Amino acid sequence: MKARRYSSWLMWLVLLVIAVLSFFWSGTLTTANTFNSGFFGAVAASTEIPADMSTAENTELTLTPAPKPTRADYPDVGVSSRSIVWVVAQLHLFFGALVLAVPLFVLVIELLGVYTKDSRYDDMAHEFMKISITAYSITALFGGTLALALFLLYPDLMAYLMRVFGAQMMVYAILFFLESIVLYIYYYGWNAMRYGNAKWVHLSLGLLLNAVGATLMVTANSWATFMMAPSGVNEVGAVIGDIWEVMKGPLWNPINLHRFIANIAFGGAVVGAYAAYKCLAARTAEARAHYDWMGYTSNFIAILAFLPLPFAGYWLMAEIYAYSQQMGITAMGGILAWLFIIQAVLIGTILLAGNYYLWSGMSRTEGSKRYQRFIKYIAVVLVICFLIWVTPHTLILTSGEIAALGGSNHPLLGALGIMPAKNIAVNLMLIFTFMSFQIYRRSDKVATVSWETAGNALMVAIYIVAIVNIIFVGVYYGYFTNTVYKVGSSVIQVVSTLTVIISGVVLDAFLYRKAKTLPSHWGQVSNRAQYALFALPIAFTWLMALMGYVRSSVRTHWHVYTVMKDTSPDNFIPTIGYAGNMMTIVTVLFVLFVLFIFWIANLSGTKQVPPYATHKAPAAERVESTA
Amino acid sequence: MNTGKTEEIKTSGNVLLKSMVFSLGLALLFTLVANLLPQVEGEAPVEQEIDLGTLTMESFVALGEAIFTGNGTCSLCHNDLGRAPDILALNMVDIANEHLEDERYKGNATDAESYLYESMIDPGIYVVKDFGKKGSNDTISPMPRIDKPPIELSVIEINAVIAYMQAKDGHDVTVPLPVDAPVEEVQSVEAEKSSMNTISVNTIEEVVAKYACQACHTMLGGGGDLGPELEQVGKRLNAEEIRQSIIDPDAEITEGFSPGVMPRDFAEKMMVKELEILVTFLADSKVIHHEKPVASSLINTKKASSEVEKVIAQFGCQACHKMLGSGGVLGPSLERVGAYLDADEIRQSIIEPNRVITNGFPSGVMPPNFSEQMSDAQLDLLVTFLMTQKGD
Amino acid sequence: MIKNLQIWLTAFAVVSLYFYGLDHFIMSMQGLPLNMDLTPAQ
Repeated sequence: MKARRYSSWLMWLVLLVIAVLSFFWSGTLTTANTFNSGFFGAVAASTEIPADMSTAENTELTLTPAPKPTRADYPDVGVSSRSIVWVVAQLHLFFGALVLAVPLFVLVIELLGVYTKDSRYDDMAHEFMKISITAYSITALFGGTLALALFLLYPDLMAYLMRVFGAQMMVYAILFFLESIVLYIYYYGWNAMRYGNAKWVHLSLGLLLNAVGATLMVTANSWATFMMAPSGVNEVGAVIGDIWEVMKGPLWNPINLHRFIANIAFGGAVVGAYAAYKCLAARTAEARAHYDWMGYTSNFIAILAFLPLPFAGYWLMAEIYAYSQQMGITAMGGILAWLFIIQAVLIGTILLAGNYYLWSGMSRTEGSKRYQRFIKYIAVVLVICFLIWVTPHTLILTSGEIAALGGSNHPLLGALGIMPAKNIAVNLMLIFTFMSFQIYRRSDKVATVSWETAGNALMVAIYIVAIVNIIFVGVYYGYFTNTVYKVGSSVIQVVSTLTVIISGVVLDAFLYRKAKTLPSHWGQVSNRAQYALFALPIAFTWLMALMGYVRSSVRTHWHVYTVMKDTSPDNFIPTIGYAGNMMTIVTVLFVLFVLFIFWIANLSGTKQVPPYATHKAPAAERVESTA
Repeated sequence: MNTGKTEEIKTSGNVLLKSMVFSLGLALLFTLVANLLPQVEGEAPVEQEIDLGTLTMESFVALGEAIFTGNGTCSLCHNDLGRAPDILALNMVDIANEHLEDERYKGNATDAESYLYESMIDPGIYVVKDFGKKGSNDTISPMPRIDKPPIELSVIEINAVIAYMQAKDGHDVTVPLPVDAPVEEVQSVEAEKSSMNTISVNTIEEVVAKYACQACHTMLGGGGDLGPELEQVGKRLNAEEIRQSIIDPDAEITEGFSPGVMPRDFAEKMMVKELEILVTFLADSKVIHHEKPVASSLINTKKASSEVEKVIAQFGCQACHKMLGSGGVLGPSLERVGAYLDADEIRQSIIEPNRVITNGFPSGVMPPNFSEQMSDAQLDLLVTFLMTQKGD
Repeated sequence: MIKNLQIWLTAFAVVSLYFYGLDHFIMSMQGLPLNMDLTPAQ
């Protein structure tokens, strides 16, 4: 027995190393120096040709510039090519996000099950994976369709991208074999590798699955970021660097981080909808309690991942500005600026839904009564911050309206339209959401440590001073100093928010050591609360579509920014209403496909009773299982 | 955690229907928000042909204004939000002159027009106080080069914007009016040929192209051998000697070469700045380069006033042939060529120069590849023009 | 009662000091130094 345990730990270690290496390889490190040294460096140095922009032409005759198709070169299938690719690509991204996210938190839940020895965690993890497996094949279907659509409708662009990325695209395809193999073993071998050493092997497979999935994502991300901010090519698009330089553009890692975190939040929201549905449809109290708990866990994952997301998004935007101020301003100060007001509406929905779910959930335990009075204040702050966030700066007005208003900005509310106000609002919304979280977590506990008063005093002080700091810094540096201090002050705000979150988690962990737990009842929650769990994925999905649209259209009339022009019939930025309609279409389609997936997951657990049963049960009665 | 009992409980009505209606409703709410907001459609720049023959200074200025707010995307940053100087609110000519006086100014412009041009094609050369990139202490400009993608304005478009900036505050417009269609169309960015109208030249390649040095001298990796090679001239001559060879070519003749061949009017035609660039470069030329020869561009942008003169300038005919009142003496003068050659003969002399050599001139001198470099249209134009050159 | 007040005052003092130091640290790390009264030093 001992020898086998040793070997499984070794396998765990080996797989851990593989996972770490694959993350390393997939470029989570941001410095070019790492890749320019050693083996990769030698490869890079040998293929690098310095791009001297001032000469008319380089003598290297194999440098082929990007193609310059004319409008006539674009195939016409009778329908807007852009709309076809839009729908297929967005659905592929939705499902890709889902199948990458679910294995992430499944792994964590499975680990939790091993440590707590509570089989319900393991069962829930297994149930989540069942959803993921069906979603996986749909992802592949959309991926294949997307590839076909792109090659059919944008042949010149695809020929160019093939030329630029070369073998990397084959690597992407081959990785899918590895992903599929690992996924099938991981899912279908779940019960076969349930306990002891085998469980550790299973966990390692889960880790490997995530590593391969992350590698797939960062590989595909490089295509999108190359189109926005090309690297490794010269002014006319001829490849002059090696594949690393092509991949590691300025926007690659910001997108990698943003999508990694956002996937988790999105995945949590989608499985939360599954849980909410099953909870509402449950026929036994036990089932209802089980799915209520699952819903809570999903919401926990979604909101937890959601909290750092604005910061990752901010980093992405900052890198866009650094790469091309024109691109940055087009996004947030130019024609696409209104999209960020819609973003505010969506994030407001997400935060309100998440918070509402937590507040409703407090009814599960009697100990929550002492915290009930805080809820209305949190709600008020959230609404006010949301209103500030949603206030636009520049209003598109007729000249008559401008005259009446005295300018293109409202004299009072205009000040709320710019970043300092938005930053204050966002940070406060995150802090108060965390507050909802914290009081929910405290609801079923009573602290028994001797230093409870001091601990609580510290926590309250942190909240209050952090909030004051955020407001002060935002107002003073935002409105009364120059631009560089204004931008720099946002970092203070972020760190203040993170201070609250981290200190809250740590402090509570110590404060509630050996705490007295009060009775709480899973399933004892209003049905209304479950609808908050429907609102979350709808809002997340729509938000993903919105941000994806911003990311694509910030390129304006370029396929590959500054390198390959878009001269297709669709090379203009559509109206925001058109874009909104497209987003609703993809959201509805996604929901329909997800319903199909949930139904399949349900169906696979359904057993028809044989008609020749001897007991008096009616024929063909379906028996539902929960796993 | 406590779980409930396993008895049956009442489920809420049709859960699927309710949840779907709710979800759809929420999605439609977002759609509603999107449709209630101001609907603006972006426009990709469209190639537009402008009949420059009918262009007046007023319409040129108006073109500049349209470019400023349109495909030049200037107003994206140059507005009252503080990202870049608010051009529409400032007196740009006065501001330009002020900046020229600034001790931090290290550029090459000499007046408001050239300053404005320079700030568009080389924004980093002088960064206005407080508008530099964060943390760079006003040494790095966040402004992109306007003549490069993604904005990529042509020289005429840039001139139009400058004209607009001058005119809007009541100053005189000093940019020349482009009176005929250039090689590239306005608002198009198909700059496949490297020939460009240059108002002022800043690089050695542009100077060499403008004065067609490579017609006779090897330099920058290519060129003819009618005159001494210049790849390593820095080893043989110092800066002063080089300068003299340009402005007074016959003062000292290199062994093996003849006097009276190199054009003598560079002293008048070249700007001081261009001469300095050339002399400095040649004085440093001590090793052989490996770049392709730069295609020649307009010899004199201000004089070029017709399509055929553009062709003549582009292919550097005047480097060797006298025509339109000036030129070299390496090849036969073309002032009266229409009187003694017919169209076919002229055409042949261009595309197959060594077939028939004029008496007194060596073979193997005129470039034999004009048939590949010139388009049919350009060739036709040239032949037609030369047919009219009968000396009367 | 007094002890409670002491606890709360100490808590606020410590936390305020932390955030004050945080402000200075983060701004100076970005090359944006501050004066003692948190006004920009540049």
